[in-house]
Amino acid sequence: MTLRLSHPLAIIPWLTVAIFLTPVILGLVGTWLPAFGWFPAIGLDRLSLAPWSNLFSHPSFPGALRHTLVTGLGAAALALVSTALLLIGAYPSALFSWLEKSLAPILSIPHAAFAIGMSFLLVPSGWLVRLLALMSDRLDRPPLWSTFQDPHGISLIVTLALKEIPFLLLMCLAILPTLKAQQTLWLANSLGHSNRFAWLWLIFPQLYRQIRLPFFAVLAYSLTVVDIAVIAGPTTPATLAVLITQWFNDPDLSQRTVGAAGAATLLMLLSLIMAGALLLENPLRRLRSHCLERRLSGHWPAWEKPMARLISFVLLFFYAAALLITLIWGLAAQWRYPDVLPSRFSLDKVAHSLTQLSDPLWCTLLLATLSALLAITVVVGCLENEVRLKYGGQKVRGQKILVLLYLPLLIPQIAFIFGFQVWLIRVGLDGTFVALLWSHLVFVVPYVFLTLSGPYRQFDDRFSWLALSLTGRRAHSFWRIKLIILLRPILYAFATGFAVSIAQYLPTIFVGAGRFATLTTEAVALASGSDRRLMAVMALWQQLLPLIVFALATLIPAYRFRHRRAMSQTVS
Amino acid sequence: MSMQLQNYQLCRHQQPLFKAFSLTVAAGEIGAITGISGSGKSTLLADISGILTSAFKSSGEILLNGNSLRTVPIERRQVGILFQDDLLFPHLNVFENLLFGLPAHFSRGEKAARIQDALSESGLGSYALRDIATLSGGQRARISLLRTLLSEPKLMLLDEPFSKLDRALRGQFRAWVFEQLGHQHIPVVLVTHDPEDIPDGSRIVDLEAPDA
Repeated sequence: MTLRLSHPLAIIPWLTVAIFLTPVILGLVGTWLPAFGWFPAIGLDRLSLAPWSNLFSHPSFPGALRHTLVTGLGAAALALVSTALLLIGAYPSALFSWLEKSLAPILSIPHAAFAIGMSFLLVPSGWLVRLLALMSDRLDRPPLWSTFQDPHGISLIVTLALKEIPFLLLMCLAILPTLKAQQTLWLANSLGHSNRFAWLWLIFPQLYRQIRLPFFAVLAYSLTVVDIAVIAGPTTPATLAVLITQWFNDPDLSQRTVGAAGAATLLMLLSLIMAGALLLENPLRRLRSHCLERRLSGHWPAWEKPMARLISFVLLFFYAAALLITLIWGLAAQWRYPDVLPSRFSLDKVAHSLTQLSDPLWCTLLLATLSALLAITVVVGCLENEVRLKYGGQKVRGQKILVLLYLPLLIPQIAFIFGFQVWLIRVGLDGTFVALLWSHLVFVVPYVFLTLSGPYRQFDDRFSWLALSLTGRRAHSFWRIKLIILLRPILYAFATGFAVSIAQYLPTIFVGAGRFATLTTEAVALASGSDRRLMAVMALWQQLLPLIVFALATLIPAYRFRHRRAMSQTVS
Repeated sequence: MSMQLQNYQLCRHQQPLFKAFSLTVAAGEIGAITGISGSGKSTLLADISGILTSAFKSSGEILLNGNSLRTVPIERRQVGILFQDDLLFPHLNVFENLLFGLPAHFSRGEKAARIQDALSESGLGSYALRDIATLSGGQRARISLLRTLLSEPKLMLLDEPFSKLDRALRGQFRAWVFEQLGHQHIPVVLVTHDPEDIPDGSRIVDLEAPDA
């Protein structure tokens, strides 16, 4: 069979790559040029290093850089080590299969909403201190400790790490079966080695190679996040990413070039750190061979098991408590310190929010639904094209595509979103809904692809083949057989895309040009204010939408296939 | 009706898998192709059916009733296939699975009647609304064949269809399959590694290793 270039599917991968790479490339160019003083929009048309010297001499720069490094590296390291401890101590076990089931709803919680919940727990007048006050009469007024937004960035590190552990776990769980982890453990045990030995020297080295990209995404996220850092991060000064956002939005337009230089610095910093991590791999590999040869395996007691229990408890406690306290704050009418519960409840705020929030709510819903639908369409198109190529004489270069897909997750949003906005202004698209939708797709498409590609590629092609030879109609074979058998993973990918869109903050701020408010931008804007009730209601809505969609993604196939036993066991 | 392979050969990455051969199977006849595993038996059926992955190249001619199948897309070849797995669609019940194969020109009533007849004749008359996951392996295998036969293929391909069944079930199912196929009066191509699966009077091709 010869490849027909004119085939309509052939264009889909290019279209998909264009959708999420065009903004990244245009955005990088549009950020780096102003960083070197070339920004015709505000009358700067000569290259200069002034933005850089302004940046480095800015009084907040050293502190912001330090905060960025400490919180970013700290959170990524904490997340990686916690994930490793959870695996050593509890994989495979009943605890794990239970944890595995709670991952989807946990991952769907938008960052901003989770950070707001964490603030309710951790602030000096928050729940944790109130619970302590029950036991001690010395806490009759909120203590003066800074337990949230602390100057060392500890609350930011903890919040970030808690948000990243589930993501890393999910990635590991997808890969461990292919590494035959259980058999390896069994074999190592039977040869007289501990679980720790098997994990450290046999499984982790392989596992790390497979989760390197997700881990780098975590690293990039921790070092450059804005919304969580605004809510939970230090303020004097804020992290670099927050500072850059402020410069980009400064009424003094010349500050934008400083912001651009900052964004470029952040990208270089991140590249250096990733390069460093890559360079460390070889010495570590040599260390592993050395330890394997010498059969070094310390016989310390197995402290990983209690540690894994502790970590999973902390994880679930904070997620449950953050949700619960957000709910209570949303319903509270009057709540004095140090009462553990409000003295009066009311639905006023929630009811009020429905009218006040109706615009952001609809905007959020429309954006999330449309971007998830569009993403599913192009991703299914790409994956169908792979099938076509498989039978059409070409190799599928899955690995290369994967690296491309990770680009928007590896390059910090703040490093290119400003440049993309500048380009949109030039072509007159800034502040339009289409541009906003596009900016969300940049992040929704990769996540949808990552979620759907596994199950889609595992589909037994003989089903399609049979359906074709039986009916003689391609449409039947695709719509009635393939898509329905894959309904569960498709809906799951839709829910993932939906949740990713809900969580977007920077694209809405920059590309929306202030004309579109979503639940997330409203929540972050309110987080610096003092109305905890409104903040809580906002965070509740933000959490509720993805949860509803995930619930639907589970219930619809369950209902549709209630009389089909073989379909109830397909795991998405 | 007849099926012909002329000077047929499969190559994988430019390496021939077996010596080129020719085979003619008339209507009502069975052509059996045997060979060790890895000799390209199943790939050969994929090629006749119209799906060949890009790692393979085939040469020679495939004719059905004198017309080359090479340029006909899979959905218009009217070639039925039965695998060792039943591959019943897991989201459809027995009736819907069978309905899927019926040609569009029948009316709804005709379709339902044909399905009911086919099920009754096979001793599965009361199974129309059953979830396929609740059936036994033998029942599923039978429905899988019925589904293919209802689509009125002009050529039937069998890809080791008996190899996954229990020993006890196997002989019985084999006899039933060839009896059903006998009524159709179409050419049948069977690939297998088990000589017991080949009915008497078949035209047998044993795939030979290519000359080095």
